[in-house]
Amino acid sequence: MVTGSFAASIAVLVFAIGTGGLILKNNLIMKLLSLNIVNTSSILFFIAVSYRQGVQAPIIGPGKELYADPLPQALVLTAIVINFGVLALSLIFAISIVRRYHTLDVKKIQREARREFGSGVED
Amino acid sequence: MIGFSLAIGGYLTFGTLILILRRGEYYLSLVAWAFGGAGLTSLILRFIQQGAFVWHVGGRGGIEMRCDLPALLFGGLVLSLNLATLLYMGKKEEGTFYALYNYLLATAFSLELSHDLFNIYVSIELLSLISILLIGYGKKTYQIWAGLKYLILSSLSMSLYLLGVALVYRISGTLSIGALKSEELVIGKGLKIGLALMVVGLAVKGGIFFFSMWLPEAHASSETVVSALLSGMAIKGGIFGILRVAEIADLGALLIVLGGATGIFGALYALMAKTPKKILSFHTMSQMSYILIGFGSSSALGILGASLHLVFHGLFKGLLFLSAGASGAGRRSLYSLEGDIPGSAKLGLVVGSLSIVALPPFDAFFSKSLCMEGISSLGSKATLLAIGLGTVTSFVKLNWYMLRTGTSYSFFKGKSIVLLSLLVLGSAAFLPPLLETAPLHLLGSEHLAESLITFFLGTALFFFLKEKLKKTSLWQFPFSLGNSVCFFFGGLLFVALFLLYMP
Amino acid sequence: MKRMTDYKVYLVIFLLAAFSGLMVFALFSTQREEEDLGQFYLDQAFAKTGANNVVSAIYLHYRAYDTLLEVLVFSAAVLGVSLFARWEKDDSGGVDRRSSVESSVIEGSGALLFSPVVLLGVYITFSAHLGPGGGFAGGVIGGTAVLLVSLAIGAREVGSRFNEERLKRFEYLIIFLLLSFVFFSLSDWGIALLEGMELSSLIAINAAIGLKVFIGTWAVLHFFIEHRGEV
Repeated sequence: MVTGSFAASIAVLVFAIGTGGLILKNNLIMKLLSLNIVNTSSILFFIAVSYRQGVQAPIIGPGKELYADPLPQALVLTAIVINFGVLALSLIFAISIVRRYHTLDVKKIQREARREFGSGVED
Repeated sequence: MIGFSLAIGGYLTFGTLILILRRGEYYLSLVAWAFGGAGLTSLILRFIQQGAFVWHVGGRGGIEMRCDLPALLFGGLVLSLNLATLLYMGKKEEGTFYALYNYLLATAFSLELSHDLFNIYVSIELLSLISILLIGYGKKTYQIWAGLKYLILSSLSMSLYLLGVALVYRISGTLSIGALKSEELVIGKGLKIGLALMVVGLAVKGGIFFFSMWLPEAHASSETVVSALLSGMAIKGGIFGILRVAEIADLGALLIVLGGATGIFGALYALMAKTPKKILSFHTMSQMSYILIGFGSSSALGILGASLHLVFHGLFKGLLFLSAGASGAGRRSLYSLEGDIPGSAKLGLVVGSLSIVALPPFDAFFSKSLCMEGISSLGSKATLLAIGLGTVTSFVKLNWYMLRTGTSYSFFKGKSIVLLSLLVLGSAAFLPPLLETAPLHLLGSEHLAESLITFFLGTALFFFLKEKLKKTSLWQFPFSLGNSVCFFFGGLLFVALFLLYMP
Repeated sequence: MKRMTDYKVYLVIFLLAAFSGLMVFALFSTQREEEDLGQFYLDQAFAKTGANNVVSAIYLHYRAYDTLLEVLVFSAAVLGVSLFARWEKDDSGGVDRRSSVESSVIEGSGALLFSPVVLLGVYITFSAHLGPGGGFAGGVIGGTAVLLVSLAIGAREVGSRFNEERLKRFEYLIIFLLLSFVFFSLSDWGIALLEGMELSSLIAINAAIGLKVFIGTWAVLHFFIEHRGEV
């Protein structure tokens, strides 16, 4: 029987996998994809914790009794749009960085950025 | 409510008008500032009349907003920084910059009034997105990289915050903090974990040491006005969120521990840093300690001191960043400075430094003394004194190297610096209505002795360590992207366990 | 160095396992609250706004302020994309040449499907109060219609057929009107003035959001298609 807690646990698992990918992968695009996975899983978690069993979609119609919880659905609409914004901006930034540094390896980018910022300073 | 609509509506409207008309950006921004001021005034008047009040945007079942003293103080900060940075910028930026700038101010204003868990999420996400655009606005690649790091960490942390909100909603069935406070909520383990998630998510935005490892690069790399706004205002958004979340349950001990950690490590790293902007960024993290410890003490004086410090820090940090920008040496190493620095920059530097080391009559003396009076445990007091010591040493270092250069007497950018300096000096005058006793009382007390002793000890420490400091270099490893995430997940576990098992 | 990376992997696995354990513990040791806000909305929303779709009633009426901020997030993202598009303009021309390998299936179907998809977007935007849908979904669907056409005849071609500046200003004008209207409808006297017209204002806000998201998605997709395939 799939209850809300069980589905939410799967969402947590996906969150953890995404975060692992974010930390361990060296490729910038991989990190951005992992971030997207993490964000999506948090949305899934939000919906899963408000699970009610055997209900209708929250569209009031004749002869229906039990409805699903509409509030998390409205909230995640906002969250999805925000994630879209984050994804678009992060990709744009990645394009700019790759154009100038010609590498997708995060370690090399960090070194190049430090070099450009410091221009000889140890910081 | 009309104050709310006036201020936020004003900023948003004129920001969008700037985008549509593409002319007169400077003047439209000034008008927006006027609307903001009008809005804040109306809120203050109503607050004086009836004390802290709550309203719902959208009627019953809408979004709860609350106007209380910290909110009004934050509003004052937003307006002051608005005027100062606007004067600093003049008419020199692109139209879109002014539009984003106004949107940023609108969001900060909205955040200070918000009392709803999800609204805080959306406001902070908007604040971050606009900040990131402003950070990357300089078009230099290291700025874009700093912005991208911030974006990734911010988005991850806000997802964590969202998980926390989901848990809290599941347990309590409501999103408004007012309802959460008043219900007889059993603060069980599940709720504590939800609170931990929310606090950690906000800590990443709020400049707390182990969590906000993106901060030094982001604030040091961006353009002057952006650094001033971010350090002065946007960081406070995260701290403000923590304050609101802390209304739900007693998080005092946690805040004190977090405050202590960020204060000490921030000051240590600032001592090792070599460029003025990096030093200032680390001190931003360090100064958050006063605010957190003040809030954590849960005493009226402590909370007042913390709220005041939130504002005062914004003012003097803004002043310091604008001075660093005006000096033109913000990103150069202290040890190899040459050439002239404008007199106005030096003035700002001195005023800001005297403030941050808590010497009277500068404003931070009062806020720090209030915090010290509010806390009772000896350990916290000792920690704050140690942080103060480190701060003094670091700023003596900054001033020592920067003031030795020649002075060029061009007072360009002078208006904004003078304005902020006056505010920094004169904020003490606003205190009497807020305190029962006159602020002069603080001058005559032990806090004056503490400040002076700390100042002399710190200066002595600087001269003692001068050569050693020149040779040390920062440990860079915590600031890489992957490691930052590890740090803050570790911090999450610490916070969760702390909340679960501490009384 | 290799040892260091191994330790890091173990550390990460440990941290994430602990995190997952914590979350699962929190989930299974708590009960869902029955008397929650959702129930309040289900009871009240239809009577107050006249919308059958309670989710729409929430995010367009009760929590319209959140939606306003969300539109601003979207606008900021689109603004960022257009800023960067402007800055990177002089660089390499991208792979968007007519001669690139696009199958005739895409070309044909793109031209054919454009109108129906836009119509679908419009329908979804306007029927939000009766069924699932809304401005965001409808706007994005309309945006994908433009995506289809861009893939079919080339983004440059599409870009040359409209005046970019005017489109941007139109978009900002929509934001302006939207902001003003939402603010108006949320203030005290606005609520009194709009008494009885809640459904209409809901649909109006939806339409404005749909239009705004349509143009915004168009802008973002346009940029990404035009510069695809570059490194």
